[in-house]
Amino acid sequence: MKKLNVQVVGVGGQGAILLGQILKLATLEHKNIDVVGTETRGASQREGCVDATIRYAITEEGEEYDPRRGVHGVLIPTGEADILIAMEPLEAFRNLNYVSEKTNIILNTYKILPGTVISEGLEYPEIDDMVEFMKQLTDKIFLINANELSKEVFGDFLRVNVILLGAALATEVLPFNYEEIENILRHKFKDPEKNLKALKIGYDEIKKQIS
Amino acid sequence: MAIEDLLIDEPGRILLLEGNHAMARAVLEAGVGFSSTYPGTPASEIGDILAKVGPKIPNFYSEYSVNEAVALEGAAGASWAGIRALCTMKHVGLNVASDALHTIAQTGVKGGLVLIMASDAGAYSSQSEQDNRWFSYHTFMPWIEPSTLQEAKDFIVSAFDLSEKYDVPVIVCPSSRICHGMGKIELKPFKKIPEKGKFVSDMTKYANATFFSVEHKKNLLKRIKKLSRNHLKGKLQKEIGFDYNKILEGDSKTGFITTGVSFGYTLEALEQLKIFDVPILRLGLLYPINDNLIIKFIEDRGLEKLIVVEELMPFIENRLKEIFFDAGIKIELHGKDTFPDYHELNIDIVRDHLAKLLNVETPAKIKNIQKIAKKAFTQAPRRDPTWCPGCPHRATFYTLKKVTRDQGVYGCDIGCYAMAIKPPMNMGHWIICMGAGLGVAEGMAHKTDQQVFASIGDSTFFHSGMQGMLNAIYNDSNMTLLVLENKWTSMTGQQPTQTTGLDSHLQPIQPVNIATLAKSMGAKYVRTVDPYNVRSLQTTLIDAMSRKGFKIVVCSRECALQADRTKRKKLSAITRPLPKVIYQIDPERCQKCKECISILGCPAITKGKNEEGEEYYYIETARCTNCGVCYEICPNSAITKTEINLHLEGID
Repeated sequence: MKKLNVQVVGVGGQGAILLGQILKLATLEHKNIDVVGTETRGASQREGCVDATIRYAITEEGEEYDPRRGVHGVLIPTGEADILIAMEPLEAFRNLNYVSEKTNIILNTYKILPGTVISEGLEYPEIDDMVEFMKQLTDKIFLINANELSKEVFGDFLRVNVILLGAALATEVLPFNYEEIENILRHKFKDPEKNLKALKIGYDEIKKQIS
Repeated sequence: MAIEDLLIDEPGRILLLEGNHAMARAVLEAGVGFSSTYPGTPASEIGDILAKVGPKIPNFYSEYSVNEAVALEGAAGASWAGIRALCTMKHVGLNVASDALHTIAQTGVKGGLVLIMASDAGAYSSQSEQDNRWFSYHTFMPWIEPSTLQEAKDFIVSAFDLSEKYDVPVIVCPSSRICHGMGKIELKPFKKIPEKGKFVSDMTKYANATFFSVEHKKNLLKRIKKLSRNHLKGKLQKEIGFDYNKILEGDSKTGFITTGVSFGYTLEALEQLKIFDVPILRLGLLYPINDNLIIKFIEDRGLEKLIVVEELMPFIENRLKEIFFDAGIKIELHGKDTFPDYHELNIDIVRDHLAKLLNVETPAKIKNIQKIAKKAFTQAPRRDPTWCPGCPHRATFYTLKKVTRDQGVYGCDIGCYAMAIKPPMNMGHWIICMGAGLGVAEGMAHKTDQQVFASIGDSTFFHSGMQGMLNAIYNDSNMTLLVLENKWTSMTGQQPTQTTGLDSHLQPIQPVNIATLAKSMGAKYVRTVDPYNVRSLQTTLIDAMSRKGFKIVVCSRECALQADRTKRKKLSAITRPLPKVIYQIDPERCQKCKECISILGCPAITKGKNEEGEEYYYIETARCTNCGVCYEICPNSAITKTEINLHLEGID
């Protein structure tokens, strides 16, 4: 049995919850993938940090389910994230406990300043410094300005989450292929055309960086 | 996931569900005809789902009750009429329902009566993380704890059988991680809900007057003993179709006993430490505990060491000590000598403490990550949750702070307004429990000459503030009560309350008028103000402060989040141009005094840098809800209000 963990971190209103749900829904087509996870609720309209956790336990063909090797806890233990999707750079920095050398970090470089920076004058660290710091833990850091891409193509920030989903798919760590996620976007959510386009934008952007 | 999916009648079908949704589904699988709740996170969504899909379930009734005591009493009423009844609440809700609970337990049930009582170890959404399992000792009610989302649903369904078989209400206790967890859930068949029941009078059962009450308790003890005996013999397992407890076998002489979500944490922690051979007993039925099962678990395997993993207090551990004393068992036992008795557990915490106990090392790699992550975490500026843009509470507390020159005493309560204790307001001087902002203020005002205020939301006011207000009026306490009437139970997810004008299923109903209520209770100083009208609130508060005795100011304005949602819904159906208001900061006039950004603290106001690199403040139009409070309070009149398309017809 193999475990695979995805952590999504961001700020209220960015669509972290929806992103988490797509990654969980995809397992319904796979009998051999068990999934547990959770999402923060209620903080979304209140300027707080938001996250979604997705934990897969994948049973190989012919293998029996072993509870001692399954996923149970809804939070990812230290260093065990295979992918960290950071929808906001500071939130990646705040959540490095999930990261180890195996972690692929998809880092949206668009900053959302916390109220404490605006009103109390606390300092927002430089993105370059944060990325440099993260390199102590993993080399697999992919930068993408999903907000800018979304704004450029769609005129708003509404597709940031789907762009980042495409980016995560490009790492080829997820237990689903591109078409499966396309199918979910096509059948379970509004605006399939825009979402499919956003998915491809994110996917291509990271593929470019990998090759 | 569409919530209507919960109504799918396809046994064996797998859905992706949140724990609270899965538990709501149990209603259909257990044939429950009545459900009541007072919203309390982490369990709020169970009631919300039932309020939404309930009207589509034949013969099913659900309600948001005014508080947990009333909710439980209502559920008992349905049960005694012979209908299966569910009552859901959060852990501290059980304190409110506790009086009724103790007597209803000894009275028993007719239709099955099950309480879902969500625990909140870590107090993520509560004022305390109290361990409610002790209520089972106190009330003699069976206590069931699921470890997974699937179990959460299935245990509830079985708990109705258990309740009816042994004539006792049953508590099912999911942890907050179960409530808000998500996973694959297998659906089971529906059970038919009877159209109506019938109450059959039986004084010797339902009337707990002095001459009956000890008899009732004796009878309850007999029923629980029978349940316990049947569990020991395996009869109960046959009756309900499965066992709440389970054992994972292993050859090691070190065994584990655990329960609830701690079971999963233990499994994953052991995996990380590469230990796969320890036998594990997972208890699902915590009260009455199965003595014989535990003794056999130890003796059959010749265990030399036993480790108990449970959240919060040593509930199981203490019970084990009693059992071992009676049975003359001597064994090395570890529990709260190793694991913390506060906060929730998780895989990391269990692993690190187990490593110490089993003399293995937490991998150095993990320690290194923890060190690096902690360094980053402490450097990252906080992202505090705050009131939404346009929240009427912001205007109320800002104005109160100003008129009292921050010299007042401010009692606070449970709701969104509890965020008043955070910067920039720093105003809630105490938060205790539902209603205590007012209750404490009443007593304090008799013994101090300070200006004493208490703030309470409308939902909390109906829950447990009304009695406190009557007390304050009747004893003429020298204080000012601010009822923050935002018309919704906002903190738990916008459930309707008694001022909304909508019932549990969002159908129109006559709302309660708090000012009229206060007057009828004898209050002489009663004012209603719109907090967006800062000047008017200021004048009212100054006036109230100049008078002796009990004053009530109803600060009435709908929750900005809900109002915004309603507006957006209306707007989405209209394509024609509409009148519009835009608030902007004029950079020429702005003195950067920070009144709007740091003292009012509206998150729709932010700062940027212009081409010369100079800092300037601006209002993010997309986030601004046009409450106009910043416009009213700007000391330099630097905020402008532009109205356009005034000749067109609006939507309100």
